[in-house]
Amino acid sequence: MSLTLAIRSLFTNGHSNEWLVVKFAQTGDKKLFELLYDNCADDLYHFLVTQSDIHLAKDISQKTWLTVFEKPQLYRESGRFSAWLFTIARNKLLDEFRRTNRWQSMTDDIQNKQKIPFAYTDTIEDVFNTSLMTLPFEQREAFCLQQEGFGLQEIANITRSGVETVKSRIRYAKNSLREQLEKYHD
Amino acid sequence: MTKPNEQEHGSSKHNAHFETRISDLYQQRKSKTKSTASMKRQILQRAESEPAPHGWFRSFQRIAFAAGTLLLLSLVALQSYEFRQSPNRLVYTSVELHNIDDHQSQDYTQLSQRYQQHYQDYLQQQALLASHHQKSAILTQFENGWELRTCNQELVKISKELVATLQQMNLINGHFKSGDSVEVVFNVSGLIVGINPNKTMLKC
Repeated sequence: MSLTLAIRSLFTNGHSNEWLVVKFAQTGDKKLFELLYDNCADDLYHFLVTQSDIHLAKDISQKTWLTVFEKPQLYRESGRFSAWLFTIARNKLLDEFRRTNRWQSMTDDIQNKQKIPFAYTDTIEDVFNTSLMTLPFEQREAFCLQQEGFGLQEIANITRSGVETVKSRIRYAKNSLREQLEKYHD
Repeated sequence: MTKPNEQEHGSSKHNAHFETRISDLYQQRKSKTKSTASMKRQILQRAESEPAPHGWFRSFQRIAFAAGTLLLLSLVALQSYEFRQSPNRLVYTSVELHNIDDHQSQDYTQLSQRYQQHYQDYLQQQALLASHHQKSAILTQFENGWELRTCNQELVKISKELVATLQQMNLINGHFKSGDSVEVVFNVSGLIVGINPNKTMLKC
């Protein structure tokens, strides 16, 4: 365990995810893995649901956590554990999209969804959800990752894009959401 | 009409409000989409069926550590054994001291004298070598012979008889008068074997 992680764990209430994964890699203690899962599973699952659907999200989530279980030593202490986790998940999701040729069908779905008008009975949450899901994949993932608390550089690393590209994607996503929400208010 | 600063302030306030609004909506959406207990159970069950991560690596580490410790202890034990055995293996060497008589002292004196003689010879040879290298000189004639003066203020006197002998042996090439610049040729032993005219005037 590195000195940095040891000091950080002293100042944090309980152990950080970084400390947990390093310790798990050293000891193989499954309780540590369970703690990691409890800390991050909801965030990851929601991200995957937003980027795909419930069934694929469950599948990719399971595969991602098994990778963490089997290869915790691949985690590098230079970054946050959650960034590493989301990177694994995103790569697995894209692999699955490529394997099943689903990428094209998702784009078509988005184009169709954009044509769906809001109903008068829709709540603001419904409008937000629909607007979010109609965003292009890259804009949606950049927006979600920002909402999950990742910085621009971390998002750029996770999505293997440039920081400026990430900034643009987030700006476009927010503009679209703003436009849809303003339409709802009007 | 509102001022630009007020417009900017209003715009940033509106943006901040929008940011808060969409963050709230995102968190509301997130609260409705959570991983289930069955998902956790499935993952943990599959993890249970897997061997502990890097079990072989930790086993290897333990074996390596044990082997290293064993090797270290063996080396220490071997060293300790050799140290205990070492007195029996000591090899003694006896040295006898002989007396020093006067004969040796005399030898030393003779040796010292010979050394001084060789040193004097060496100094002579060095001086000779220095003069051998200096070839150019200014010739001065007088009744008893010639004088050759070098730029280093060294004076070589050549007797009348020697001049005559050199002339007989055709070792003096030319007719010289006082003030001529000449080249004096020495052999390896430092003897004059020729005096030749120097085409360039020696200037000291």
